Amino acid sequence: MKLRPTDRAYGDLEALIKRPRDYANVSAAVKAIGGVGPPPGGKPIAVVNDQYDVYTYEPPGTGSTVIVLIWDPDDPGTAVFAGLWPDPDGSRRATKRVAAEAASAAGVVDPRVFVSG
Amino acid sequence: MVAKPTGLETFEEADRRLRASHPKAEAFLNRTAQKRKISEFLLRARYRAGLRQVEVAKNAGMSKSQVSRLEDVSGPVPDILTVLRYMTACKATIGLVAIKSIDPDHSQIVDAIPLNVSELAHVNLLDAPKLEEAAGG
Repeated sequence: MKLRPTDRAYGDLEALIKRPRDYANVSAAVKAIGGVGPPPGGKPIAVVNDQYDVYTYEPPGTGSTVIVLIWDPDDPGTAVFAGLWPDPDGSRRATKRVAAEAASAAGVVDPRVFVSG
Repeated sequence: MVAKPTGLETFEEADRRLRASHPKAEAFLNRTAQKRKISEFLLRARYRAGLRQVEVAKNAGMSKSQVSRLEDVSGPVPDILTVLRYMTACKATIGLVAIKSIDPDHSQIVDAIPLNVSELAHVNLLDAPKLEEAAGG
């Protein structure tokens, strides 16, 4: 599986590396995700344009920040690392906003978000 | 000054590029290499199970902050029973693995068995002096 950073992710990572502990935690989380892929049988927090599954992952040590990944349905082995966002923590409105922002950052044009659950 | 990416790159490539530009971060990452391996191991189990920290904490009878500290790349390496509690909370377990050394840089897994809490207590893996004695130390 590959993780392809977006411009947003580059920005997040470049800001984060100035705080080595936070960077190391996010790096460990991203590498762990790379070894696992989307959770088997897992439910995405949202689906964008009836096509892209959006998942959030909690890295350790970084408070209420989550890593947002957009899984590419045409290439199941590849996720777009959309970047870091505040944890929507179950709020439908926040989930919709995070998924839309992440999808835009990942290059999805005119994202229409369906929040799962 | 961070070198700019040229075209698409994987996270690993971005990581190498960023680390090369930030010696302090590189030093921190090197210093925490051992705990980061444990951290990635634990995180893989949690992400595979599709669980949030609060769910692992509830299943393991820990606080969310304990789970976060266990997963953190800094801090002490957790003891084996704590790792087993965490893994059990992620609907997984840990095991014993026999590794054959081929040369200083290469090894091969030759045998593996899963463990549960009672087996772990039985084999008394936490008895450090006996472990050292068994290892010829």
